[in-house]
Amino acid sequence: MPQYRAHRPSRVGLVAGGAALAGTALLGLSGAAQAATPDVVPDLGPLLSAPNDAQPTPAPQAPYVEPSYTAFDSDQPLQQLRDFAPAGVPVAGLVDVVSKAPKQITPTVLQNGTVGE
Amino acid sequence: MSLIPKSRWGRRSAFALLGAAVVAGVAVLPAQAQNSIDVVRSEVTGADDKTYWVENNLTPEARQQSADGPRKEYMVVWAGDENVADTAVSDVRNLPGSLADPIDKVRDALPGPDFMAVVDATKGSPDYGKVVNTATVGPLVENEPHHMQYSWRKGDKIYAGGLYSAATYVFDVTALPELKLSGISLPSQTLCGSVPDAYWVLNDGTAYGTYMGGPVAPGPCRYTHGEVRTGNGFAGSPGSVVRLGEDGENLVEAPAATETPEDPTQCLNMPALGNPTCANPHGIQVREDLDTMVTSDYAEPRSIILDPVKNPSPYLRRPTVRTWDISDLNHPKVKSVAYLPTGPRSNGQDPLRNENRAAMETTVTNRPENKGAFAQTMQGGAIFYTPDITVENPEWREVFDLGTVAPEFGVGGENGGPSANGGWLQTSPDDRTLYHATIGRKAGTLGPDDKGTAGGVVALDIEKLVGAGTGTTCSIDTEEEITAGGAEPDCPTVRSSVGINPDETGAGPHWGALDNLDLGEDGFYRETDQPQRLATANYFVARTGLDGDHRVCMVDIARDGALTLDETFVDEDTGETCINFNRENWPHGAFGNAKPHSMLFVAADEDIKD
Repeated sequence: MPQYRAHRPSRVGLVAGGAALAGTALLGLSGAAQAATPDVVPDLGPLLSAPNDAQPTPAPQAPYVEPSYTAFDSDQPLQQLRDFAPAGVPVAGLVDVVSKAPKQITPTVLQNGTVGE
Repeated sequence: MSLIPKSRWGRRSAFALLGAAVVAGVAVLPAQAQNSIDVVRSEVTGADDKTYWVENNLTPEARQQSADGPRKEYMVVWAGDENVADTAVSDVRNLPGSLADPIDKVRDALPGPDFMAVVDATKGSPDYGKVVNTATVGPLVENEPHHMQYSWRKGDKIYAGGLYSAATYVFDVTALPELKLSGISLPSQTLCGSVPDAYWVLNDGTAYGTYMGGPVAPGPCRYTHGEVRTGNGFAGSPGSVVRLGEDGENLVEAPAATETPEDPTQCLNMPALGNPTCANPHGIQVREDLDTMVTSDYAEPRSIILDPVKNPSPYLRRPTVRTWDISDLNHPKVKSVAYLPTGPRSNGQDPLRNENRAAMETTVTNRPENKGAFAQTMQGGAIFYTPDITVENPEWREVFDLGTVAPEFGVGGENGGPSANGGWLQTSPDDRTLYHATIGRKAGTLGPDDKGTAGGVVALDIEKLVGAGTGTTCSIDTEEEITAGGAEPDCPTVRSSVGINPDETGAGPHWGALDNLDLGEDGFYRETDQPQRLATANYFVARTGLDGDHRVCMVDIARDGALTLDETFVDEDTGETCINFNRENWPHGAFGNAKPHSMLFVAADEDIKD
């Protein structure tokens, strides 16, 4: 009967493999984490970027638009919160458009109201 | 007596047979329509070593045209197959009427091949308006065919993109009405961008293309020359500009986003980015003689195709225009980022419809002595101009509000600027006229009392504006100018307009193309700077909730600039003016309705003289 000798990985190999795996996971997840939580995870993109002297810096400011908080009265709290977008998610806007979705698919013969953009 | 078997196995067998019959019926029906069609396939190997093809389905009319007779001019129309994902929302809205003709409804529900329709555009020909070839692409379906380049010159390939597949097809049209596939660019070749939108063909035959959406995967992405930008993923932000070879090879991918953050309040990214950016390039035009390219940013695209859920924030639509230094064609660099100005209609309560919101298209002037460019906004309903795109920071001013012309298009027309849904914007080759297509606004968009506006094409006289050079004074900055037009003497004026579907609101064209080919007395075509007609397409993107009736129309341009609908350009099946892409049968089979997004006027190489 043939004898099989169990192959034992060396401790150094285990450490190196583990480090490589952890590094790969870190790199793979850092981008997604940065995109999801930009205020928590620093964006290393600009540091890694090749320099470009022709870049317009800094980008100019957009023309002023009155914030939603002051543009609407307090009896429209959802509209007042329209500009509030933690981590880029416009919470009030999402609530608003999702709540209006059933109306958007109400048969035309039954509806009366806003229909599009 | 019941027709359903009583035993369990009997019922299962009956349902299995019924299902097989439905599948077989749907599969067989398309094949029946292919009698007398010449099928010619052209294949290329993609970067993934798989085979991609275009399959020509040439009608008998196409064969006649190839044999003898007058030289033909064609219009190629890049169209997508309509399926249930395009129609579900409108079908529910239109109950119970949408239940009529259930067999066609089932057949249309399945995904079919997207295609380039080749239409006989030879005025006076007995085949004028006939579809003489449908060149289907495969194996990818659900491309969502979108834009090509803005005009075609002899020798140019045609670059055509698919929003959803993120693929760019490169077609060879030298042997029209037959097409060949020269190459394909796959998403794996353009990892830092997605959602290809529009193209500009350079003098050497390569092309720049805007990839409106973010990198294929979220996270840092390294562009061709080592630049790194962090993006929030496919159809997110930031987008890129890609230079494509005539075989679809990615020659350069360049970031549209700057290294520094743009205005965080008005450049929302969902999810947020450490460097907020409005860089979602859509429109693209180039002045190679000025070493300058202009791109306009429209929207973070994945947020607008969720019908019936609408865009959750007005700040996902963009107010920015970028100029690029292209002195090294293989190293395009963003030179300026300009925010279009707000206007007299702008306010904080409805910023989605502020004049500067959703900068979809841009167009450059063409004559060597002119350096200006225009931009327009889809939701903002305004047109902007800068007299010199070569300076470090071009200053853009609003020069026209669509509220001025909206009543001329047809029904409704009050308050015509907001959500005018303008699209195609094109200067004439001689820089005298600016053409602009608008869909118009569906009644009810602004509230129950909103009567909406019809859509159409307007031709603006821009001679004084462009002629003023950098001394231009035109600026729309008072409420009177919204409807009366600009008060300054160099402001554009309406030369002519034509309503498309003038009796309906929000049913006008999204896109258009000028016919830059002219038939000479010797029977050959030549390029002209005095186009005598243009074509329009009534389709945007169904899954945004803004679909269209899928008709392609022809508009004549008289010597004095007057626009009139060409009533001799009729559908071969119905005989009605304009050709309808909602039809049961195509040369490639009975695949039902199709969505025509953009078109170009073309002719076979041998039929054009330089």
